[in-house]
Amino acid sequence: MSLSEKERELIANSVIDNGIKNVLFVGGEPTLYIEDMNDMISRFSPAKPAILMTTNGHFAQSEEAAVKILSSVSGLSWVNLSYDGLHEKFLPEANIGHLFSACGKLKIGFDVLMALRSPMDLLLLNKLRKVGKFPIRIQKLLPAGAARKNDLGFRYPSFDKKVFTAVCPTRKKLIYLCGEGFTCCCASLAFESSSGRFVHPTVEEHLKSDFYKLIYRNTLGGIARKFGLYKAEMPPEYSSPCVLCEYLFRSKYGVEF
Amino acid sequence: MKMNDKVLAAFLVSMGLFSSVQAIQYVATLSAGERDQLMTVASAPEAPVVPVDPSVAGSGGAAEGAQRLA
Repeated sequence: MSLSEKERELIANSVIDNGIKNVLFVGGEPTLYIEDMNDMISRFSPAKPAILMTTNGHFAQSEEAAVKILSSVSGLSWVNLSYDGLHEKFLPEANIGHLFSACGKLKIGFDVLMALRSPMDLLLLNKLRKVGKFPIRIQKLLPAGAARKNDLGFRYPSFDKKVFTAVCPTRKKLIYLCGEGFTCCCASLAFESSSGRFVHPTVEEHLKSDFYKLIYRNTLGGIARKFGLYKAEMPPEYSSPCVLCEYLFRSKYGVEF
Repeated sequence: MKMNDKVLAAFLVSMGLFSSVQAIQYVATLSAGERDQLMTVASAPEAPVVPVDPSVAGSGGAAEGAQRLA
C-alpha cells in the first residue's frame, strides 16, 4: 500500500511537531519502497530525526549490491536485519555477511533481530556469530496474525505471574500503520481490531485516548484488576505481556473489540 | 538437577526467555541431544546478544521494528 499525500503530510507533521528523534521504516520490506522512503525523509528534514530501517536483507546478494541499495536511502544511520528460523528458509547466509560489510563500509550501524519460536531457535546464534561481531537482539514470537494462524508463537511451559508487574513494552513508542493511523501497540490490539479504540487518526488523539492513558499508567496487573479479570493462575501463554493484554481487552470489550 | 541443566536454565533466564521456574521446567522437556545443542550456544564466547522486549508480533515488521527502538 502506498501512502496518500494526506498521510505523508500527516506523518511528516507528526514527526516534526512531536520532536521525534528516531524514525524507523519497517514493512513488509522497506527497500521495495525506497522512493517513498526518501520522499518521507525529505519531509522530516526540519526535525532531522535519525533514520533507521528493518529489512530482510533480500537485496544483499553481494556487498556491492548492498552498498548500492543502502546508499540510496537518504541519511540512513542504522540497519536492523530480521533473521530467524523463518527467514533462514529463504535468505542465503551470504547475504548477512554482505549486508554487515556494506554497513561497515558506509558507516551505518547494524544489528540482527531474531524472533524466537522456541529457545531451540537460539542455535542460529552459532551461525550468526561466524558471520561477524554485531549485536543480536532476540524476541519471543508473538502468536498474532500469521504466526497465530500457523501456530508459531513462542510457548511457555507454565504461567509466570510476574507478567502482572509488566507494562506495555511499546507504550513509549509510536507506530504509524499505513491507511490506519497512530498507535503505541505493535500487536493484536492494533492489527486485529477495527473498533478505533487502539489506533487513532492523529498522534494527539491517540495520546488522549482512554486506551493510551490506561496502557501508559498501569501495569498489566493493574489493568487486569480494573477490568475485574485478575486471576492468580492463567494459561501459560499469558506469560507474554502482549498476549495477556490482548486477552484483557478482548474480554473487556467482547464483540466490540 | 544436573549441573549442565542448571547452566542451561540460567542461560535461558539470562536471555530473558523464561522465569527461573519456567526455565527449569523447559530444560526438563529437552532430549539429551537438544541439551547438548543448546549448550553450544550457552557456552560460546561472549557475544553481544540482547534480549529485547518480551514479545513481538509475528505478522509484519512493524512490531519487530518498534521493538528495535527499545
